Amino acid sequence: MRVLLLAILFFQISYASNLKGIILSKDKKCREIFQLYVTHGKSVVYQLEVPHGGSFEFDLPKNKYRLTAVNKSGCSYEADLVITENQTFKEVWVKK
Amino acid sequence: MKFLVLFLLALSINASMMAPNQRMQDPRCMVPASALAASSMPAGLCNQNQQIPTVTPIYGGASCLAMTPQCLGQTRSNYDCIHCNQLNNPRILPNQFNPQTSWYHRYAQMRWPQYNRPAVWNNGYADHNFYPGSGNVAVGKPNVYIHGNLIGKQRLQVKMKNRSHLLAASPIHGTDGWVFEKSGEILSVTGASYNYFYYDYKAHENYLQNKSGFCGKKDYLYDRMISILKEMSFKEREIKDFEDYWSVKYPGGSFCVYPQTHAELQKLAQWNGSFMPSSFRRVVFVSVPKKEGHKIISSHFKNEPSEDWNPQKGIYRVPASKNDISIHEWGVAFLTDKK
Repeated sequence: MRVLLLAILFFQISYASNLKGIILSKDKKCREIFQLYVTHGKSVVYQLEVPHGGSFEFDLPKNKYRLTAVNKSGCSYEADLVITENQTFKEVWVKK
Repeated sequence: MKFLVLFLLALSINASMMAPNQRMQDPRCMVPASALAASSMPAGLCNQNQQIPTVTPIYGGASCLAMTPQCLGQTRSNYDCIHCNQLNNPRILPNQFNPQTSWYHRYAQMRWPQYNRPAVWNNGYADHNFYPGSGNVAVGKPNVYIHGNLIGKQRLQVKMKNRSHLLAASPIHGTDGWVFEKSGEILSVTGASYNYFYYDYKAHENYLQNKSGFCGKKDYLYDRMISILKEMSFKEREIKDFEDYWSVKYPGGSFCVYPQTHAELQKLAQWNGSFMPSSFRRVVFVSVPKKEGHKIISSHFKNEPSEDWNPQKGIYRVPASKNDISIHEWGVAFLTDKK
């Protein structure tokens, strides 16, 4: 029984690997729509459009990813991301 | 009894870990105020119990099965209806697979060799290892467009039903959905301006229709999907968004496409709104690999469609609603490689 309860707890924690974030910039030139990519190796897991100040969320299995935001003016952000925790919040500061 | 206490404790620990972010409505509240000011974003409403509009399910009073003007609404000027080509002189379409590709496709194709796939891909299927949740249908990129005059703060919630699971969204959907204000065609959420709302989810195939559709290779399927969007009177920019993304991301090979409408989708991803539109259009193209070259793993989509699909099925009118509000949603779904 105890094992079962611990398994339920572990499952609930491990399952909800939720990433939330917001795209921000101090540069006025960077306030266009961004393409946001969540990638794993050579594959794109998610791709979406997010405006400046816009928010996003993903439910990602625990793994290593790369988060890339880029817009037409060449403003960008790129970072490796290791999803391990239950909840992660990411400020994506884009710059030219 | 001891176990029950332990169980409740475990749940409360878990709930306390999840609660702050799940309650979070405004992502700006997670950013230091000074940093937010530097980005010129208006401050969020933090540490306040915000009143959010209540919602009710959005239902269709009637599906449009006739090409009446009320059902057709605005159509594209260069209307290319594949069905109609039998009646009209067929017009040779430009090659839609060599479009003036958007800058971001070129950028991404250089960076990620597997970019021209709709997901992390495994021989005709989305790789289940990257898309959590039960079920074997990964619904990609439903884009939701809201038209008409809406005054004040409104809410649209996509409630996951029958074990569906939200995978991604922009803006953050959370449990409450999107709280927004509308100005022209712009949807404003926590100070940011969106052209549409986006979400992905995982669902069970059993709730989807498996009788109507069409089969073929990429070129034909893509043309047919565009044709259906036109017949359903999606707006020009909505079709352009579809073309822009799926002309590059729709996979090669043979598939059968089973279009799903509000009648099926509401069982999986239920629209709840603080407003009731007078009409809406909703279609998700579920793409199932054909036998040739693919291992068939679906028990629900094991047979090819036995009849053609009428695009008018995806158009709904709500006679009781007398406003000018309409919601348009398109999406494309693929099966995952494991249930």
